[in-house]
Amino acid sequence: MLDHIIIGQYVPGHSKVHRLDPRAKLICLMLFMVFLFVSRHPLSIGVALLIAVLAFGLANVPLTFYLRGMRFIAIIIIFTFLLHLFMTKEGPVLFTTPIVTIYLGGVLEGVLVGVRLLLLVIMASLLTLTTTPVDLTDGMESLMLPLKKVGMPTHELAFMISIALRFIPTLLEEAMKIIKAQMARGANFTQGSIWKRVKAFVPVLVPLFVQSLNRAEDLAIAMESRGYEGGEGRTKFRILYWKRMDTIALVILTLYSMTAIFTRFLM
Amino acid sequence: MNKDIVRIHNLSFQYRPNEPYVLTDINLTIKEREWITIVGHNGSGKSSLAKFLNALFIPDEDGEVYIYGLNTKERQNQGKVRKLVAMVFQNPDNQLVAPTVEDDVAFGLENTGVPREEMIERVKESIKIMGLEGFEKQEPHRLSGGQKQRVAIAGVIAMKPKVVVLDEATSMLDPVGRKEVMEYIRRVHNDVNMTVIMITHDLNEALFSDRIIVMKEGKILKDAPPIEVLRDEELLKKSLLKPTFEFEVQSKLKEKGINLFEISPQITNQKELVDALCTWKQKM
Repeated sequence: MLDHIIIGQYVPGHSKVHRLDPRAKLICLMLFMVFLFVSRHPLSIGVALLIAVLAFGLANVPLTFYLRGMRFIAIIIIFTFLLHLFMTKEGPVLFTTPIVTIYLGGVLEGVLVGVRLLLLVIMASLLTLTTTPVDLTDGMESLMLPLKKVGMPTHELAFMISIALRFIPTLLEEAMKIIKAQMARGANFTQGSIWKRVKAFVPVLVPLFVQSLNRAEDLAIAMESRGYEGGEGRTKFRILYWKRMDTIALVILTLYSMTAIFTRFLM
Repeated sequence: MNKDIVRIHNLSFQYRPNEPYVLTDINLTIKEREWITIVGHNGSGKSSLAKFLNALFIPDEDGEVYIYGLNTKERQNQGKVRKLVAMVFQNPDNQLVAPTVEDDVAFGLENTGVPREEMIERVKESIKIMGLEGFEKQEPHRLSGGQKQRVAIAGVIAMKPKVVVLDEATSMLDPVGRKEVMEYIRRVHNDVNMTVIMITHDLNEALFSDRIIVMKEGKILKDAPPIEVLRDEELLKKSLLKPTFEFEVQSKLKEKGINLFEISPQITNQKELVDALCTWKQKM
């Protein structure tokens, strides 16, 4: 029943993109996202497209993995495309119907926004497809480190995320068990109106919640007995290596950012 | 013999005032390198006693717990005590913290600030002792119950404690997992020279120990070598413990007038039982 929930979409591999430092990947994605929305000029959109194609090609992740997450996104992309198509009233009129008039500006704007969203989704899924959740948390913790100076509990945040990731499969397993136990008592999760089905899940969620609290307490005792005292004075087992490939990736994205700024504001 | 490493004096404990005592007047010493099994029925206080051993519980009133001479009442000793006495708990799912096996083994070392080079060494070593090579990158939820408990034990011995306390560490496992974990606990005791304190309600697991401590309603009923405890039917009945299969066969036969004890004074496993039965048959 819950089999179709994919936890962490990571696809194992050894491609150049897989081996990039998660910090590099995160910064690159951030730059890409910001400057993609600055880009209007065909040149900078072209560069963005090139980068996406390059990353996509290097990552070597089968297309089906992208498509799996795309169905919902596709609706949004089509919707925004249509919205821009009908709402923009610029440029020469292409054709007129009794209901709407389509302008050339509308088509261009629609395509632009559509392409932007598509590239964004591709790059974002590329990150989760090629990086293990553990590496991602490590990368985030490391990037958030400067914020520690202003009192942000960076270690605690990263640690919380990593514990949550560790327990998702365990909790799913438990949810399955409870669902089966409730089904054995006559609960019905697959019939009736949506409201009825949602209500049928209450007897699953309550024991799951209680169990999670018990687990949390056990875990706290186990952690304490293993000497956990927060982030102070802690050493790290996993460390991240910044390699030449990471610098290259960063340089490429910086060049793209400059192109985007230049074509948008200076041309 | 070896020196005393755990000394408990007049320990009494209740969770809240006006509630019945969980432990009453416990006196106990444990020597280095011993294998102790604490057995008792549910609510006998055995798990509470265990939590005093690594300063998770602190004695109030006049009771005292000394670990390697350190009084757990003093705050500055508590960190040291937890380094000396490590604990493995019942539920394998609730004590693995990290997303992969090697990260989890390293968790305790990270907490105590061990330098990374040494950490890698020690993680590797512990993984080898617990026979988990090849599972380093595995996620905990893909392991069997027995394997998870082995990971938990590996994480504990990586910290090089002197004493390992196993608080019902096998009670949630299937028989195969139990056997597997017991095998590795023996290894930890024999090869790594650790003092093992096992808490269980299964007498089968107590056979390997040097001493069995039988508890009931917060009191120690008996503190003796396994054979003596297992043979004491009166005691087992009183403490609501199920005798091991071999001893049950012996006592049932005794009721029928067949005394296997005369043939072989030491029957602890099935092979010895079968041998004794064969000898008896030949004598007929």
